[in-house]
Amino acid sequence: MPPSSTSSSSPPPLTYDGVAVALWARPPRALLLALLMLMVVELGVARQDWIWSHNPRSETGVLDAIERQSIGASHNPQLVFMGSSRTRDGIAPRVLEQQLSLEQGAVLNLGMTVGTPFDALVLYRRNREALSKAGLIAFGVEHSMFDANAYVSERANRFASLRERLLWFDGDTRQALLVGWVWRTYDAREPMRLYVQSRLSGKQPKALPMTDDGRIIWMRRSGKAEDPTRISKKLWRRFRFSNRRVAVLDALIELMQQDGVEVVLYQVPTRNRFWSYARDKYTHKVDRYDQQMQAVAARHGSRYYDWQDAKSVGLSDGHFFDYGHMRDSGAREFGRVMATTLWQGHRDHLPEQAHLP
Amino acid sequence: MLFNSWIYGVFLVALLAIYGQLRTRQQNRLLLLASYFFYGWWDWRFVGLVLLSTAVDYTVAAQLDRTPANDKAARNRLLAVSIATNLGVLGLFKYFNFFVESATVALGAIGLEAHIWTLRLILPVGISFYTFQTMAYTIDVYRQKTKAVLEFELFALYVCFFPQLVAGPIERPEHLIPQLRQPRRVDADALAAGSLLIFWGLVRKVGIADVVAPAVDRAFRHPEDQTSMALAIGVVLFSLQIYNDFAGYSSIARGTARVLGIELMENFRQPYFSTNITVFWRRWHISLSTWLRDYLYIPLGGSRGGTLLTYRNLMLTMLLGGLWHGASWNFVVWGGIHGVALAAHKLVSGNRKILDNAPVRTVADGLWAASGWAFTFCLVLFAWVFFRADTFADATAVLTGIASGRGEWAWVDWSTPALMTLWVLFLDIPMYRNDDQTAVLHWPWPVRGTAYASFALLLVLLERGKDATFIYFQF
Repeated sequence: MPPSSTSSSSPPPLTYDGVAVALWARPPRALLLALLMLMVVELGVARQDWIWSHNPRSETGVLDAIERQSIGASHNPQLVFMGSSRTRDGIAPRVLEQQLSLEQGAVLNLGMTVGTPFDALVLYRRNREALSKAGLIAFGVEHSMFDANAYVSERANRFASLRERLLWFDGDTRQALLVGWVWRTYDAREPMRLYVQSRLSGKQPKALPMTDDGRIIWMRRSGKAEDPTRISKKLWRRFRFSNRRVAVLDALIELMQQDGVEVVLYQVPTRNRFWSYARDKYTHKVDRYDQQMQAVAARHGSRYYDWQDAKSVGLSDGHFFDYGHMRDSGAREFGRVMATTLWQGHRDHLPEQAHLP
Repeated sequence: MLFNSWIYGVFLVALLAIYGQLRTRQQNRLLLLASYFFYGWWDWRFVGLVLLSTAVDYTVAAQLDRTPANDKAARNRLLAVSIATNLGVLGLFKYFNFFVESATVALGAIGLEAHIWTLRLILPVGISFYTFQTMAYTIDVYRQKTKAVLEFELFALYVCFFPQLVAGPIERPEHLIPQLRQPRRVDADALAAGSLLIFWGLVRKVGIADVVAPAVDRAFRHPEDQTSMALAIGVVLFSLQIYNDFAGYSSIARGTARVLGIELMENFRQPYFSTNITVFWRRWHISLSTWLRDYLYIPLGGSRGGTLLTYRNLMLTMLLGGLWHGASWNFVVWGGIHGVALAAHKLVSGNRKILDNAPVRTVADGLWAASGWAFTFCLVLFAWVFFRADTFADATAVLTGIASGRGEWAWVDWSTPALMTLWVLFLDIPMYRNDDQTAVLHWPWPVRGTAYASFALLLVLLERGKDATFIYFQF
């Protein structure tokens, strides 16, 4: 039906084939207004960087906070640790500096909650000049980083390019990331929600606290250890090894090696009774994961230290507060092991003044 | 495939794009394929069950159509085949273990130890809904209220039409089948109204039900550890959760059907504004309550056999209605509470006609309506405790916990319940006043536009991901 023949007061029903004509004859003003308002949010908020970084305790803001509080405060990083919250809790930079007789600020711990190779890659790219000065970067791997079903932090929503979203993520995560690439409001929903909450409550997000031994820790660090059966099921039962996620680790190692940095992979220790349960119950998956990590290290000529079994590095159950996060005492003990291992195996990549007492 | 998932959006848009280009018969074929695909998305194995139900009722109804009305015995046998098959499948998958375990407990109570085996069966999604829908058809054909459908494709589509397949509304043959026969066009009005219903349903589900769910879970998980106020708030929030979850689902189902040119029956009409329990049941899960009325309460004798029989029929209907929700005594108790309340209301109101929306002309009318509303709402809340609690012991723990007055309540965070209640009122008042679930379409366009944008943003901000399934899927 041509537009000229319609009456503005009582338009006749229009067929599906004529939706375009219908829009012309009777523009859905409310819908257009809504789209305009959503566009304002899309361009004015969701595509702005501040929405991601305003809260240092959010998954995305923590990266900016680490850059400010850790990388920015160090003049000469020599030995850098990257990885997840288990690296964040388990590596005490001051302990390692003392052990290796390095000056304060030479060792950085850049581990973060739900940290993955992708997060390390982002952090490295953004701070390449500073971090490429380090002689050695140790990356703490754990199987959940390579699980196709595992949660991916919002840092992927913030930083991943279209190509990376397509190539480096799996299944539902990739699907959501692709939607988010087109519609950034969807990508930025969590930081936007946090922003609205903080505005409504009037509480300003606090900066991240740093412990005396140089770790940035603000999450709960005490509590009951969970049942090994439950946590192992949660972590291993649905574990599906993802080659896409390994590709990110490959990219990370290649970039660092391009800059002449020695890369070391280490398996973060797991509390003994949790580890032995997982090893016995999910032997096939555990073995396959271990072989894959060895293969990655071999591919890049790097060393891989399998310290999954906490006993092998002298850690007891008392050194952990849950299945794999270390207490202060655990971090101190693990620091000694790490210092010795790096000194013995990678002396050439440590600063000249480094030595074990 | 969940209505509140991206994949459903893609599915619907793709379907609509093809659907608009086809003739009626082809549209029905497409809808049939899409419906099996939609259902098979959960578990392909259970498509077989839908097909079994479809084949049995198609055959039985066709036979009924050919059997003379005066051959009562043959007609009764045919009806029995259909009912036995449908209730047999339902009983096996949904109630077998419940009855076995209840029998074991009962035997144990009289000193007999029994070791009866149970089955490890997965409950097929939507089984209670589509079995009731096919049974309604066969019973209507038996009663000669409707003609048997001789086109298998058409009947199969009636059984498995995807918008209402897994959680209703439970459609009646005389309402849905003629629409499936008619030529359908997707017009701009249907698109507008359908999209609005879908949008409103998502707002209810994602913006209200999913938001209050964690607080409800906390209250009901360990009721003995909660303060009285936290428990009371948990119960009120559950009333908002279940209403918005189910009404949200129904709204999306109706909206989806509407954009396809099909009108599904209303399932909810602002039930929490009811001033008595009878009206509540005219407004809550309408497709089930009318089903129970037409296929259970009236065949039992309805109100024709005198006062006591009427109360018995009401009680039986509500007890079975409770059991329909799930294999648990808690649902039976929930149904029993509503049965007693309906019987009591019938006793009090006698033969007076109970109006859906009694006019309020004086202050006294207003006070009467307000007290009726408060009483009805409290009664519904009381019954919800049994509906939501995992066990009878948990339900009593919640109720005694609320009554005990334990713990302080100054610390309780009122913001979520207050915000959610306001939101529900904002959605429901215009719909209630106009008795129209698309009343918003009559608002001035700047208000509508702002509301659409605000709700769309809230939907995005409150989205919880794929774990947010609908409560009624378990029934």
